[in-house]
Amino acid sequence: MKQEEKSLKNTGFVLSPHTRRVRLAETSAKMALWIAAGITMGTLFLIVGYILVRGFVSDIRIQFEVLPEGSKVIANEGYADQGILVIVNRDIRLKDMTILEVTDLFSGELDNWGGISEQDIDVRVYAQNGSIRDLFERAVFLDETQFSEDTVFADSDRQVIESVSNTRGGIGFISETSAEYLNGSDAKPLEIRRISVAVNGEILRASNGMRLHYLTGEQIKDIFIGTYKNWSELGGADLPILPAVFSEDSLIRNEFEEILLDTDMRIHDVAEVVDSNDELAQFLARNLGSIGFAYYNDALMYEMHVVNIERRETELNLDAAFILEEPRRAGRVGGISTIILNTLFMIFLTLLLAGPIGVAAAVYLTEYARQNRINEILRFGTETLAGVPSIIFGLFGFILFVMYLDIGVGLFSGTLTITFMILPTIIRAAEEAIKSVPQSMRESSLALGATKWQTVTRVVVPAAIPGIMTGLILAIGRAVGETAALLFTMGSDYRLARDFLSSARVLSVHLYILVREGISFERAFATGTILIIIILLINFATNKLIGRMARMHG
Amino acid sequence: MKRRKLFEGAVERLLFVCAMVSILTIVFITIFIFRTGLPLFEEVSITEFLFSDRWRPTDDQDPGFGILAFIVASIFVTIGALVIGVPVGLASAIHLAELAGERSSRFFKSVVEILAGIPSVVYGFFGTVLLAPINRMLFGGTGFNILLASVILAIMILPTIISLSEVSIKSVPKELKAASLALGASHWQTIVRVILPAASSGIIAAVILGTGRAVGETMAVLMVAGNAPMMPEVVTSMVRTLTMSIAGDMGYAAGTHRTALFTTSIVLFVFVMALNVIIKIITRKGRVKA
Repeated sequence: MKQEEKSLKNTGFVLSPHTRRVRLAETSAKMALWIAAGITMGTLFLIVGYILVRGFVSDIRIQFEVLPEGSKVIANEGYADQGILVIVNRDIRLKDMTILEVTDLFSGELDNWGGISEQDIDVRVYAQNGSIRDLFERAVFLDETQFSEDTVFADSDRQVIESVSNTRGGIGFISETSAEYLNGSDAKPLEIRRISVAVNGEILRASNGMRLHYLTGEQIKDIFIGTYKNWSELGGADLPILPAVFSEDSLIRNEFEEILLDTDMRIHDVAEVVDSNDELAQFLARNLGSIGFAYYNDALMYEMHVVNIERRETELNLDAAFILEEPRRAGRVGGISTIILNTLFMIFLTLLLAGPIGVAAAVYLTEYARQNRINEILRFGTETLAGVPSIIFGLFGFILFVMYLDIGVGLFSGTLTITFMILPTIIRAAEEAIKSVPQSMRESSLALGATKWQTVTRVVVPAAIPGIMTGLILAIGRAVGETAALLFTMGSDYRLARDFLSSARVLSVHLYILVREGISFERAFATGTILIIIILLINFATNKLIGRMARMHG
Repeated sequence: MKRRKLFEGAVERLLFVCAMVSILTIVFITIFIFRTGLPLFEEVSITEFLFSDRWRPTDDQDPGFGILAFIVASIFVTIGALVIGVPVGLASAIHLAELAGERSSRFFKSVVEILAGIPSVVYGFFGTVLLAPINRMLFGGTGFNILLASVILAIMILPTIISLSEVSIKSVPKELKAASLALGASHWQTIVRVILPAASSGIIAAVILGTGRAVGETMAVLMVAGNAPMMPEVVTSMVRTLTMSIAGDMGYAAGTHRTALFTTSIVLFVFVMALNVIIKIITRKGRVKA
């Protein structure tokens, strides 16, 4: 077309207005078609891309009352040379903790790592009974809190390191001076987040509809180096920002600067320099718009108004552990291994039933059926069955297996329900495959004296195998994605199915429950990712098979 | 020889039984659903069930079992899905059949297959996490409403519409197209005046099949339509469709409430069956014409 236009131009030929209008209409109509196709493709890429990205990487924002980062050494005012390290067994998937979590772990409030590192491991507490025990208690425990009853006290740092190294779920503390012994051991020190930011109470209160909800680490840095001057710049009330800080030689100020500020930055435009928590608390209480920082324990003790600080955690969401571990606490923690296995069981059993029946039905329809009324009805049955909504299959399975046969909600009922559902897919694919086997092959087989059955089993069906496989794989796709038919027939027990009658949760039902109950969107994304990967693999496999089939039949 | 003949006969009968499974399933589904659902009319009149929108199944004093609101919601959501899905799907199908080159059409077919393969919970989840917040920003409310459900359903029926329309467009005899082009019609004129009319029965069947899918879809709408058992008023109303009512209440319903859910499924089943019969009639007519 373009070539033609060019050559017309060269000869000085002019198109009539009518022809031009027709061409314009033609181009714009084709453009519209192209856009529609683009929308379809774009939709798929958006869905698959969005779920895969969020499935593999989780980006969570958590608000907590301490700074998003911490330092490894816990130091006490007046004992600058006696820092403490909190160490854990290397198996614990953590790099830092808040001081509150340290308190809860050592006091026995938390006895499982599930709530912190999402690992189902019991906490084993080891404490150094020597010189630094007092310092540790002062830095970590509030008022009445004490070491838990299960705490094992060791006499030296090296004993603590050894115990923590050898115990899954072990946690302990040692003196900073013993850090060298950690080399080569299976214990690692954690960063402890314990600096809070406190403000005058007015800023957190809603005045004129302006209220500060939270700050980010970046904003806090900018406040103290003097970039922000007024709370309204941060979404708060119209008040000047008045920062109060501890003097330059104090431990907390050093720690604060080390954590938050880059090396060449200095704290600027300070409204007040304080020497004690008491002074800080009074300054904050008296001055509108004031802000300061203190250790979390001290901030609580002096009843300061602590600000929520947002921390952004970007990490691998879908890892090997998610696939290999069992789900716990309704799927909030752990992986989905049992759910994957349940899904595989279901698929295996379904194929075992639906495969032979479907292929046999297809063989009958193509090889044996005569063109009469009964067979037309059979065909209509298959077509209609394909159009029945899955929820109706679910109800049918529920009435038949749960209400009448009374075998209860479980693997067996669910599998049979799905079998009925995927039969049309298998029958149709197998029919197409068998039909495309050349007639000459059948004739040669029959001419050689084979019976019809021998011809079917030894010649026709083997030749149609790739097509039948395609149907089976497509059926797997339908079965994996099915939810509505399984909700009331297969159940939702997320443990491994023990026998054919036990309730079993499959991937799609798991995804639905995670979203409906609001259990965990991160886990839902990871589960959705696995479902999509399965669908992509199925698509890849069927395309390969269809390609092979095309080559086989020339 | 006799034994062999006997064997062959037995095999044929066995295969026939397997082929009967589909039709038997249909028959059993019909029997079971009607037997479990119809007893509702001993307690509730059929007019109240179909034409009242008072759904109070758990009210002890004065229970109401009217599903009109669900029927209307199903119709609204389905129409919405067709309004969005049919133009895009049909245009994509024409592009695929008439304009796309061999490589791009193979790729596009893969895209359609994957769209068809994505589980409905994943569509519902996608609607919940990405489209609902956008919808909320644009139209306020919770973000879960008829509009969102229609968009999600439109995406879900795209593969059905595209692949069936494409097949019927492709199966228009080459001579028709050639004759039209030879008479001087442009490609676009040929598509609109010759190919589409010739493929119309297949395209209509595709749309009806899409309608069936949209009406029967459960999980995705359950997750995005808002689930409020009220008469829909505007496109931003939160609604509950027939399928949502069944799937949502089945987990805890008992007694008459549960029976009413089975009766609801009769309505759904009859509707879908009617669509199937219509498709059958249309495609047969189309075949006769061709």
